[in-house]
Amino acid sequence: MNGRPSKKLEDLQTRSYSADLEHEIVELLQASFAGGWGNEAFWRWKHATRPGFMPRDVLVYTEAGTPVACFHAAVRTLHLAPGLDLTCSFGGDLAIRADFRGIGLPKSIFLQSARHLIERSVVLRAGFSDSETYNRVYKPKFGHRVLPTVTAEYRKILSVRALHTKLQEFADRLRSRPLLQRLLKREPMRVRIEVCGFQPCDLILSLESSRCATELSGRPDLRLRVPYKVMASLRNGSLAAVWSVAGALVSGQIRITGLLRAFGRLARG
Amino acid sequence: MPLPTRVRTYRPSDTLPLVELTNRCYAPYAGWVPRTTEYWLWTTLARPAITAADVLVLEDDTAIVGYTALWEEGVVLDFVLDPDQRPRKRRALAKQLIDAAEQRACKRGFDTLRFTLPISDQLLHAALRKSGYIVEQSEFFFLGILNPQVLLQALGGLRSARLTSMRIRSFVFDLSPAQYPRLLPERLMLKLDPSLRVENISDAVEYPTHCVIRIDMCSLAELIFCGKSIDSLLGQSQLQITPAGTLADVRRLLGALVVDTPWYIPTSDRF
Repeated sequence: MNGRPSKKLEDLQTRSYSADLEHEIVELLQASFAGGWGNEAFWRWKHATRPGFMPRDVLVYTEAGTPVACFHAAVRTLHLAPGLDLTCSFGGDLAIRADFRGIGLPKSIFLQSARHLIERSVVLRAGFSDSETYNRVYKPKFGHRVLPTVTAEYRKILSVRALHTKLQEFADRLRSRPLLQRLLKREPMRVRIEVCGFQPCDLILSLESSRCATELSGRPDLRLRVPYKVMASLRNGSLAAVWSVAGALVSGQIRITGLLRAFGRLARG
Repeated sequence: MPLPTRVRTYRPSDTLPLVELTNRCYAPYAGWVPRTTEYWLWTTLARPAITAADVLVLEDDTAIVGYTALWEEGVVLDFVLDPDQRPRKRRALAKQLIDAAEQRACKRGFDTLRFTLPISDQLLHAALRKSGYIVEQSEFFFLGILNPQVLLQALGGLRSARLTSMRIRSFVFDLSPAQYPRLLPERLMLKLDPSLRVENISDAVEYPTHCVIRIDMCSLAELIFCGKSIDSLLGQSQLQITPAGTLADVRRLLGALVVDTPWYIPTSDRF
């Protein structure tokens, strides 16, 4: 093997959507998206039932009749300013079977789909991506530019299960610190965490692992009471988070008991 | 005495008022899809894993003043509040709708709740932060120009009033692809008289050279959509204007073509 792709772009045929391809298109997408993609019902809703959908919005590359790559476009009106709406194509759901990568399919797909979009009087092309894909593909290969949007995501944990997962992730990060390793050298540590609005739990830390327990037993080594808002702000790791914690400490919203015992244990350890 | 504002679930008769309210609420932003009844029904209610009970409508004694729609895994598709309400009332409405969304999310067994909103809306930002939400960066939204002729025509047409007193009455755009795969007109001519018109003169052997704007497609996108300044493009030789004496007029023209509306893309419009 010299690492060169054995497939050739010239051997592939292109076609647009027809209902008989649906199953294979979804299989391609499911195989290409690590985090999962969705099922056929979701595909049908997103594409085939979308207002204004045209079969040519789905570009399929086939080898001997079998789909090996696909790309989807959604032509929509985009509002740009008062009195200015333009036709824009949102592109995405690009999937290329592993053995057909490295033969120039993305550029071919871009050009093929552009012809159809120009016929549909599309003015702009847009899409969503993470920064890695944008910097690797969309910016250098297709000349797209990321827009400075005011769009922000606001997130809040609602369930005890999700809170415990976050606490465990945080504890796992802490366990790698030398100070905590010294503290846990002799025996595990039980930290009772009371996040306002949630049922209290014991975070049990040992050198090897950490876990959350909802059955509160015995006297904890450390007890921490913290409002959810302050705990959540810590994830930002910003100066504002430091202020938030400092403010909560001064106003008594954060309560820590057992610190002296922990220091004593550290000194002994 | 007016009835207090209440939250209820969606009814089919709400569709039109919700479409109107959403369009009014998103109007100050760029990057969203103007709602029609058909589009709203598709992007909200026809979506898998959503029912009418996930669409929460906020109503006072006279009209619908807000709504939100919850999708799977606690993703909030839209969170719309009447922009014409007074700040104090809008703040109270935001709190009421956030609380209702949280209750619905808990009922559906979601672990988290995620809103995608314009961070520039200070009132909503404060309401969500007060309710314990943390802010994270949203996904990248990127854009490319497919048809510069129509784009310049649309932008120029909209802002033509700003160009009436210009000394130069026609401009040539000499476009290069940069990282764009080729598929574009190479030369466009923007004429201000008798009314603004953009023509494709790529095939013309001769063309007027009294004012030529040389720019690549990526830089044109940066100038129009990304807030990149004319000076910075000139400094980096991404924009060249010949003859140099026409710079003042070109500045006015390019300045008029800039889209300076803040970009906000609601989750319901994601692809």
